[in-house]
Amino acid sequence: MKLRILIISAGVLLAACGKSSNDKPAPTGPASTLISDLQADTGASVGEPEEGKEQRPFYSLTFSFTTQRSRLIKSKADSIQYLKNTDWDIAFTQEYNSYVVVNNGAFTGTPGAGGPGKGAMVIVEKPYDQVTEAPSDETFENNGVHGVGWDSGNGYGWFFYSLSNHICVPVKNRTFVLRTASGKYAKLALLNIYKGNPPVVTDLFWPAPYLTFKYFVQTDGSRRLNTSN
Amino acid sequence: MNTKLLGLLAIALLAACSKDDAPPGPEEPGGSAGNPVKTGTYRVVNLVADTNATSAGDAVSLYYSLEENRVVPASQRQTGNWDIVFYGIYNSSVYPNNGNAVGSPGFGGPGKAEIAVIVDRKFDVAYYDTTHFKPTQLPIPAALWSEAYNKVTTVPAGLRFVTRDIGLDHFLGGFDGWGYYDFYGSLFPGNPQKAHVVYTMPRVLIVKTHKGRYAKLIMESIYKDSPANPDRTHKPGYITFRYSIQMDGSTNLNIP
Repeated sequence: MKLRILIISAGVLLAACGKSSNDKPAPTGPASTLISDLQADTGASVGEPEEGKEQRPFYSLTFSFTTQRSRLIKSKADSIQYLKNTDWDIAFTQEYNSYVVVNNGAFTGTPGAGGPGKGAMVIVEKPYDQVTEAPSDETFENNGVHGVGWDSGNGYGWFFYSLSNHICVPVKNRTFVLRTASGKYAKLALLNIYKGNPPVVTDLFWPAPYLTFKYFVQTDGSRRLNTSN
Repeated sequence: MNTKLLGLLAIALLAACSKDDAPPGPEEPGGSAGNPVKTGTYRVVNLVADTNATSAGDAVSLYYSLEENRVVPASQRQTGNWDIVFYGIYNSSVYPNNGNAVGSPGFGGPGKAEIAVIVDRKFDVAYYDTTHFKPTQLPIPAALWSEAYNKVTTVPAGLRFVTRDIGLDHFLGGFDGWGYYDFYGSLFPGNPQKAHVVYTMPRVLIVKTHKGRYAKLIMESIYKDSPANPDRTHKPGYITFRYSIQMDGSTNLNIP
């Protein structure tokens, strides 16, 4: 216990040092948008029975970068009415709404399948603020993914998930460069799935899924993605 | 420590021998000379990867040389002596030995192997929901394994090889794989023995070995004695697979 406290205070000290010696120029550009605690489908539980939850598959949650409108897709009628258009850019799907996919009509098995969406995604191993330009079309074509979820260790996900404690740990310094549903370039950082964006979660029953993420859409059609924050 | 490790490997090797196997070559610490198999079909039965495997964490990695039909010690993970590794949860990630395979034991090493999975949706509909990516019937009829396997007589033109793993099919990710992981037992509601079960599917993997030869491979089971309808009472960590390797360097996989 004492040892642990010592380690924590050492960590705090180090972090403090880092801050004071940081003389890099501040990044410049337009501001990003931070979405905190976007409530996804908190009514579903497909595992052990839980109070206030139904045992059924999770509803998908769509989100528009432009209008910030989110929508739970609960039924076939919802799917028909709300999915086959470019009014949304990403969807949070499957278990705990943790598989995040783009809106692309050609991506079978994703909510946008069969619609007009042109979304695409590329995983970039850089912190969000260091991603200043979208990669080439060729990169999207060759290295693109439909979405990101669990990272089994192969680098193709946004969170690690240990089956021993069933807790999602977001991968740090990994950014997702996107084409939105209408073909604009954007960058996205997926930050947390737990309510309140806690840095560390040890409680399996911490309220989830509440999504915290940050993004920026380049509206002028260029590939520039530098932002001030 | 070393002797313990060697002991485990010896057990794994013994388990690897099945009736229709060519006898595995002797253990060679350097491994460079090698003892390559002939062009042919080999079946590896109850290969012991990690019998203590649970869904609670990664299993012990298991390195395999398709060219020599043998387990390769973990101490040689950064050599070209193996072609594939069974890695991660339930050993479900089949990585090629490739220095560019991020997150795998061969990363940064000399390995040049690559892997691909053949996905034939017209065939898949016999057992699989191609929109929601899950089996439509369990157990999947055993005859489909032979059918899928025999259909592959050459390396398909335009097949996309990767250096990442082929593993669990669309499990919180967008990749086609060889096995369906029913994480919550959702295919069998109310039966806790059916949660965290991996069902193999009749999907053929193509491996380009480290030395550049082609093999087709099909996973049969990750449970001891290959139960047709596995559940939590079966022991994971026993890998059974079949493969056919073409040693002449061609893409011909019409191998009896």
